[in-house]
This record gives sequence, structure tokens and C-alpha cells, in this order.
Amino acid sequence: MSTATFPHPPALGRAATGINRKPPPFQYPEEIKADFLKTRDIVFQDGRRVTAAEVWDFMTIEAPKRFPNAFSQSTNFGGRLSQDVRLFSSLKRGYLSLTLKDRLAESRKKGVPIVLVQGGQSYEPYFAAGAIPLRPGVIIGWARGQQEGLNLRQNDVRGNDILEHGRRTITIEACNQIAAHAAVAEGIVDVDLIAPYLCLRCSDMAYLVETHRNKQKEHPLHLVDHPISRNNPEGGVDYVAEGLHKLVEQIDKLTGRKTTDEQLRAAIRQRNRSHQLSRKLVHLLWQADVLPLNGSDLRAASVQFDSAGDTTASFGVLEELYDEVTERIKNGVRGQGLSERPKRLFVSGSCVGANSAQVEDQGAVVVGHDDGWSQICVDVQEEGDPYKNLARSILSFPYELSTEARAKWTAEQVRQSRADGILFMYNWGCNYQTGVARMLADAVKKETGLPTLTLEVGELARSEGVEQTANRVESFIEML
Amino acid sequence: MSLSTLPKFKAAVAARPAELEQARKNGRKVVGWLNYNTPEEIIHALGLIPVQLGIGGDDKLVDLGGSFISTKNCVYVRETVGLFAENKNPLVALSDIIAVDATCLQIYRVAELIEYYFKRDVVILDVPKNPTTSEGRTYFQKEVAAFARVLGEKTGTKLGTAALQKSIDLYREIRATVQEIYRYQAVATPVITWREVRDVIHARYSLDPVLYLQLVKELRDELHVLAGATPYLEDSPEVRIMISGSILPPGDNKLIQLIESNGGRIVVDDTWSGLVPFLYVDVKAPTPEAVAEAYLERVPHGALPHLDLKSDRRLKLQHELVKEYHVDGVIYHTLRYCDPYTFKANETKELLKQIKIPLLEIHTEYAGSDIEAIRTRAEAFIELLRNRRKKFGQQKPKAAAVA
Amino acid sequence: MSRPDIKVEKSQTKEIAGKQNGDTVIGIDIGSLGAKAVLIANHSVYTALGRTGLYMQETANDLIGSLTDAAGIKRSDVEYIVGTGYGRVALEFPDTPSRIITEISCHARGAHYLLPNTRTIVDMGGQDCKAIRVEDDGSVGDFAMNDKCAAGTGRFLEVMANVFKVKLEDLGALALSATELVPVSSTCTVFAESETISLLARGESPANILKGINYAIAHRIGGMFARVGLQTDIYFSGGVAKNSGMRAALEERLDARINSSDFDPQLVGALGAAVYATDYAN
Repeated sequence: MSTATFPHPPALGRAATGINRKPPPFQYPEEIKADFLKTRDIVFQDGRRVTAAEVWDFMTIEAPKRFPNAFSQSTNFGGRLSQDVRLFSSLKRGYLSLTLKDRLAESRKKGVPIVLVQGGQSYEPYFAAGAIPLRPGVIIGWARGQQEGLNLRQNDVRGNDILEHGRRTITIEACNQIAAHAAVAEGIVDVDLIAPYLCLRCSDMAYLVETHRNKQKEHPLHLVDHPISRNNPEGGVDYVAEGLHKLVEQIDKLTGRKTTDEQLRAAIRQRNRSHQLSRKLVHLLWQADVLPLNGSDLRAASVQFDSAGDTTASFGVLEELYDEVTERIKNGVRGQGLSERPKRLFVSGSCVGANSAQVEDQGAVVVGHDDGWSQICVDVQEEGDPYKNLARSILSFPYELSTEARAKWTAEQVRQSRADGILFMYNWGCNYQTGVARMLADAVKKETGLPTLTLEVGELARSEGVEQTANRVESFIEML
Repeated sequence: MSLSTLPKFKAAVAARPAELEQARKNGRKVVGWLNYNTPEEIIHALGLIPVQLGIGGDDKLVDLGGSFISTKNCVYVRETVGLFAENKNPLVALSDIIAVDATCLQIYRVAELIEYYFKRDVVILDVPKNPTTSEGRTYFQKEVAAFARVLGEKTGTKLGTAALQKSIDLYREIRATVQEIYRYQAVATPVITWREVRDVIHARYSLDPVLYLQLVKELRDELHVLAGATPYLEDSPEVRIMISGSILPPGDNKLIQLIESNGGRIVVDDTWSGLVPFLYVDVKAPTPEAVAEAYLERVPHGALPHLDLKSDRRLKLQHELVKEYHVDGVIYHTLRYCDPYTFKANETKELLKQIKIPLLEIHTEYAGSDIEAIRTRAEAFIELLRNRRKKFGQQKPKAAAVA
Repeated sequence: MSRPDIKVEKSQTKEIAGKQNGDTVIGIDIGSLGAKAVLIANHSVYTALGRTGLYMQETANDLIGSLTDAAGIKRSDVEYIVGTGYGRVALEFPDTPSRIITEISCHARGAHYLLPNTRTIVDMGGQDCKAIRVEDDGSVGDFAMNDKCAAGTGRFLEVMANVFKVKLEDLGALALSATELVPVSSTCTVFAESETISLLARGESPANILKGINYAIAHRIGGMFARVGLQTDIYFSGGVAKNSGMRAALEERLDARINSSDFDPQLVGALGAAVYATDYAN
């Protein structure tokens, strides 16, 4: 029996604080207002500007009335607004999310087509053709938000009803994306085209799109296939390029315009700029001695912020975030809510996320995700045939490569993020992630030597985390 | 009256592993393949020995496989992984190369797993999910050509035009003969049962195609003698059932037993473990591209999406078979987590309702734990169909709802 | 031979009074937990309810014995027996003409006999739940049964009654007293159970959780109706039919009124079996 003692005895568990069943709704405090008003405008794609003052008024007066669910402070709420109120770009990000509904209504009036796509794919052709691509998570939020004034619980019940409708009409074994498709099929929200890429990360996307083919209200449907093409890579590029051409043609049919190669190149350039900045930012964050952002803000840095529906606005907010981060790192400012030496978690999996508030409460922080980050790591060539260039880049997203290749890349990200442990999460009904989770975890564990936890999560249409997930994550953190 | 050819199939299948071992000793290579669109013609023309892998109904293998993949994947997929993990099945153990096409994406992941965990030599053939588009077809032609090239490189063989034509002709004749045989089980008083035909179909998985053709021709000739040259499909006293949906591979007999023990008679299926792979394959030239075209032309597997309901050939075939085989009801069999077929269950039911054909969905795994539950459903369905017959007589369904 | 667990009654239900035409037949429904039997004799209906136990044939014989005693007839007077339910395959009656029919057909026939306008049945027994569409003549038009695992059985509600420390009969009233609905997982019964315990730890009230559970179950039932089609009038059968909270959740989910009668909904399968027996006796 060893008599050695730990130099820093791990502080297990957390304070027993009882239940805070109904915490007061979140409010941006008056003290920050003066400084916030000094920050830059948000500029949209069409040139429209929104001042910090307008953002402030919306987020403190209008939004809490219309969308009280978004202002819940319950730690079970996975989508809680970041409590790091001095991170002003975060406030603006919240503004973009909560004004999406109004902006979509405006866009519809102007005849801008809305397209149901999937998460983890890239979006240049949609934007270039003048459409707004929305992934299922955003569609579900949009559907729930059709009824305003709901608190978190009521909003969840609404989301659950939509999810259950999908399950009833198709099957209970569908992943929770079925909620987005049910929302569209039921006409709770209206899209003009259902046209995702068929990423390999989602083995069910084709069948979800197929469910629309027998509906009374017929939406045009289109799939951009994602070929595996191990032995025939150039053939794969041609195939995808042609699929992208047809996608753009479909959108052009709706807008009555013809999208030019140059417009597509412009969208590619904009995307590259945004992703290069994102990479710069994330690497800064990963290398920082003191993490200047908490989990929910960290995530914002590393995903393509598509829920804004406007690439210019998203980019502007990303730039502001970058400036704030460099300032914080210079001054050694820590992200709000983080403990002094939080355990660093990396999350792997599609359409998943760990509850930042709970994770930070337990002395850890999620520093990286592979989903969504993968395509940020790949630039698209800017000269030449934009369709072929896009095809080439799509086929080289690390997340979409063979599982062995994906594992190698994931291990590299885990190393760069200096993670202490890895969570492999997959959704109920997701055949792909469940199929590769063990192999991926084994390969990454082999490469990194880090502890891993594989767990199933569920109920995408609900914001309140399910206890089982919270339990397992907490145990894992205690273990670390 | 038992057919004299049937035991020959059984004997040949039993003798096959020893044959394969011998062939390998003589320097020939065995290519075990999985999924639905792997072109055997090409494997055969390269001088390699194609063997179709994959069995069902073995809960032990499902459990074993489930630890490498996950319990949330289709049972057949799990069992397949289990097969490779255990590596006792002779066909699996004797395969030098494993060829996997990517029709079903879960099976594609199996290919990755067996490469990683069991160090198998795997060749992947991708199958486009936009198979009716010109770019999808071009892509598949290139894929099949690449498949032939890679297989050839791995085995030091080359694809010759004459050899390919021979293989194409051989498989064409096999398919035509099996189609003929298939009809015999569906006549009013059959001399061969649907189950026996199913066993003949499954024998093809492992047998040498030349021998197989010889045996099916012999069987066909025997049927000609016993039952006439043109089997006539008509109503019969028993309730006539079609099986549709996910595959019922060799070894998965639970549902069939439960249907038959309750007085239901299976007269036709449109599954990929039964009739469908034999239909509409017309290779027009001895080239990989022509093989690719022919494979895309056939009635697609449910894992290949089709976005336009009116032109869905799979549904069209289903309705045609219902009419042709005088079907009273369809049992739509889906494996748990087989999403391509499960997602379409409701739609399939609604469309059959339009031609007044009831559909029962049986959603199941290989475990025996749901035998009573399935028995009840199958029995209730057969009661329902008997009742309908009494009320409506054996009406022929109206013209197919899918044009 | 005395079986204290067997309850025998002569039915006073007005809906079935006067429909009997002199046959002497028996319908037996051997479920996984409860064994039910109905005797049609003397132009009346007698019912018997007991525990299935381990020996189904014995239980069947005991039920028959209790019924014939109550009606004052001999065992040999019985003209025909129809067996149904989970345990039907175990039954045999060497001295009486008999057959077995699934509980699906029997529920349809029984509910239709009881309330002839019934066109849809929701049946929630111990082990599974069913949606049955009934034709005008009481035959089965279509049916669906619950998916494996997914929430929705009487057994699950028993477990919940235990968790909340209430009697099974009181679950209904408890749910009806809820102030809001707490969404609960509907994909897996085991999952939902542990979720319930966590919700209690978080301070959610049992009534609200229970309402969420009822709604989760109702969603799964709704799923079956997406397969089978819903038509009024609706009848709720099986042991769970006595749970008013579940009934309320179903009525809201299906957006339709559910009929009832004072005939014990657990006995409808046996009643239908007896009615089928009258067909075959003649």
C-alpha cells in the first residue's frame, strides 16, 4: 500500500446547493450598457446596419418578452445564453439568433428562398445563389419560435410535440432531426426547397428527404451525393461538382436569376476568410494559459455560425470576438464561470453537445468539437472552376473521410486543444455515429492515450438536458 | 412428391467449403462479398471465386458483433460483424478478399470495421445515391471500372472482354432460370414450396456459378415435367402472402415459420434475399461500364433513395407482383434499425391501401424474445385476410397506384 | 379447487342486456398477468377474473368451473369455447369443440358487441398496447401493436405507481391534478423510469411528471394510429382503461372522445371470444 499522497488532492464533486427550481430569468445588467453602446454596428449582407443601441434594446426589452425561454437561467438548459456578459460579441451573437425569425420573415417577403440542409455541410452555393440555408437544429428552433411568449418548459413541450409528430408518422427510430422534417411537412415553418448534401456523417439524410415525396404540399427535393470513391477520387470530384451545379440550378429556378461562377467564387472567398479567422482564433484559444472564454463562447469560435442566416453579419461578429479574445489573453482575463484549472474536454460526434453550464459547474470546460470544426479546417481553392474546387474540398473534410483517417485528424485536434479527456457522443437513432463510435474511440485512444467516454444522448428537440447524460458526464469529469 | 434435384443443392453447398479450400491451394482466390450491387460477373471474369456472405438469425453473433459496432445498428449488420469477429463460418474464413459495395451505408461501415479490427483485405465499391441522374451513372461506371482494376491489381489478374462476356452470359442464364423456377412455387397446387425455392436461391451464394446453372436447369426441367412448361398463377384456398422490406438472409427463418404455422402461404417476395436480385439485369456489352449501367437499371434496393414517388420502380414492382401473384396481403418485414425500409413503412402501407391490399408491419430483431408477439400479429393478420376473403371474395386489385 | 383470486359476477351492464340468444358458450382470455373468462348462458353474461399464474390450463379450468357454478349449469352444457390471449397456445379442451383466435380479433368483436358504434379500439394491457380499427360488422379492419421497448404498457404504469408510492387506481386522479406538463422520454420505458427519478430529485412534482408520462405514452399510441387510421367511436380496453389520467391524455392526443361503459374493460377480449364462440356454436 503506497503512502504517497497526491500533491493536489482532487476536489471531487461539487457543493450541495439543493435545487434552484426556478432561477430568475437572465438579464443583461445595466452596468455594462455604457461600454456596450460604444461597440461597433452589426452589418448585414444587404448593407443594412444595426447599432449597438438597437441591439441592446432588443436584448433587454423586446427579446425577453417575446422569447422568455431563451432567457432561462436553469443549468439544465443546454442553450443558455452565455453569462459572460462582458463578452460583447456574445450578446450580438444572441441578437442574431433571436432576430432570425424576423429576418427570415423579411427575406420571405423579398422572395429569398429558404432551403432545408443539414448540419456539418458547407453552404457557399446556397448563399451564392441568394438563398438562406437552414440546418435542422435551426429549423426546429424556428418552428418552436412560431409561438412566442413561451417559457422554457412550454417551449420544450412544443418542440417535443413536433418531434413526436415526426416519430408517429415515420418511425420512432429516426434521429431527432425528424422534428425539423416534421415541422416542414406540417407547414409549421415554410421552406422553398429541401436540398442537403448527403454527408457520410449522416446515413439517414437521404431517407429523411424521401419522406417528403408523398406529401400533398410538394417541396422540390434535391440531394448532392457525397461519394466514397476510394479507388476513383477524380470521378468523385466530377460527380459532386455536377451535383452542385444542379443544386444551384434548382435555386436559380426559384429566384429567376442565374448564379455566375464569379458569384460562387465570391462566396468561397468570403467563407475562406471567415474560416481562416476562425482557425486563427481557435488556435489562440487552445494555446492560451488562461482560457478567456467559457464553453458556450468557445463553441461559437469554432463553428460556422450559420444560425444567423447572414454570412456578413456572422463574420463581423467573429471579428469582434477575435479582437475581444486577443485583448483578454493580453490581460490574462478568464472566461466567466470557469474554475482555475478546469479539466479540458473534447467532444466528438454529430449533432451533439455537452451542457456547458453543467460541465463548468463541475470544474471542466469543453475546448473543442470535431463536428462543424472539420470543414473550417479545409480551405477551398479560389481560382478556377468553383464547382470542382468546392467538390474537392467537400471530399476532403476530415470528418467525412474514412473512420481511420477521421480518427487521426481527431487525435491531432485533441492534442492541439490540450484536452484531458474525450467524449464520444451520439444521438438516439443515429446509425452512423453509433456504428463508428467504438472504432473511433479505440483509434483516438491509441493515438492520444487519453481517457474517453462514449455515450448516447437524445431528445434534440428539447432544451432541458436529460439526467442520464448529465450523470455520466459528471462521473467522467470526477474521474479526470 | 419430392423433387430429386433439391438434395443435390444441399449436397453441393455442404461440399463447397472443402472445394474452396482446394481451389485456394491451387492458387485461386476467393472474393467474399457483401451488400447488394457487387458485380459478380466481373469477379468471376477475373478468374476469382465470388461468394456472397451474410447470414441472419444468430443471436450469439449479433451480440458478438454488437460489441464492435453498437447495439443501435441493424441486427443483420451486427451479425455480419460478429461473423467476422468469430471467423468460424467457412465462407468468411476462406475469403481472401472482401468486396463491399456501399448500397447500404451501415454495411459500408462494417467494411471499415473488419479492416480495422480483423485486418481483412477489403475493396470498396461505392454506389451513387443519385443513381438515376446522368452524373450518378457516369460516376458508377467509373467506380465499377476502378473496382475491376483494383481487384485485378490485388490478385494479379486482368479483365478480358471474352471472359467477361462469358460471365455475363452465365449469370444472365442463371437469373432467367431462377425466375422461371420461382413461379412454380406460387401455383395453386405447387410441387415446390416457396421455402424450397428460397433455399435454392440461397444456395447460389456459395456455389460455383457453372455448377449452379447446371443444377437450376436440372430443377427447371424437372418442374417442367411435373408441373408443365408454363406455371399458371391464380388464387388458391390458403391466404396468399407477399413478403416485402428488409432482407431475410439464410438462417433467418423466424418470421417465415410463424406465418406458415398459422396457415399463411408465402407466394412471392420483393426482397433482396429473394426474388429481386434476379430481375431486370441486362448487361449490353462486355465492359465494366455496361455492367454498371445494367446494375443501375434494375429495380433499386430501398437504401438507394428515390425522390419522385410516381417513378419509383421498387413500388411499381411491388404492386405488379401483388397483382401477378394474386396476393391477399403484404407482410412488410423490417429489421430494427434498418432505416431505409422502416422509414418507408407507412408510405408503402398507404399506397397498397389504394389498391385494397392490407399490409402488416413486422419490426423485429433476431432474438427469440418477440416470438409470441410476432405470432399474435401474424395470426391476427391472417384472420383479417381470411375474413376479407369471406366478405369480398378473391377480388383482383385495381390497376397499380404507382403508374 | 377454491381460487380466492377469482372474482365472478353476473353482468348488469345495460349495453349487453338482452343481446344473448340462448347459446351456452365460453370465451377465455389468458393474459400475461390476468386471466379473464366470459360465459354466455341463460340469456345472460357472466364474467370471471383471476390471476393467470404459472399453470394456464388449470387457471382456465378454474375459471370455467367458477362460471358454470355461478350460472348453475354443467360443464358439459358448454357448446363451444374460444381461447385467446397470450396464453392461448397452451389451452386445450378435449371435451368441448373449441378454437383459438387472437386477442386482436376478440377485442374488436367484444367492443363492437358492447358498443356497436365502436370503430377504433385502444387496448392497453400489461405487456403491450394495441390500436385496432373495427369494421361495421365487428371484424378487424387494421391493427398495430406497440414497438419494442417504447413506453406504453400497463406494467410501466405499475412501476410508476410504485415510484410515486400511490395505488395504481389513484394514478389517474394524481395526473389530473397536474399544474403543468413535464416532457418525459417516450423512446424507452427504462429510460423514462430513471428520468422520472431524476426529475423528482430536481423538485418536479409527481403529478406533473405523471402527466408527462401519460403524454409520452399517448404519443406512442398516436404513432400506432398514424398506421391504422382513427375513426370514431373509440373504445379504451385493457386494465389501463380504468386510469382516468391516461384516458384524459389519450383524448387530448387523439383529439376525440373515448366511449365507456360499466363493463370492465379488462374483460372485453374474453367477451369477444365468447361472441365468436356463439358464431361457431351455430
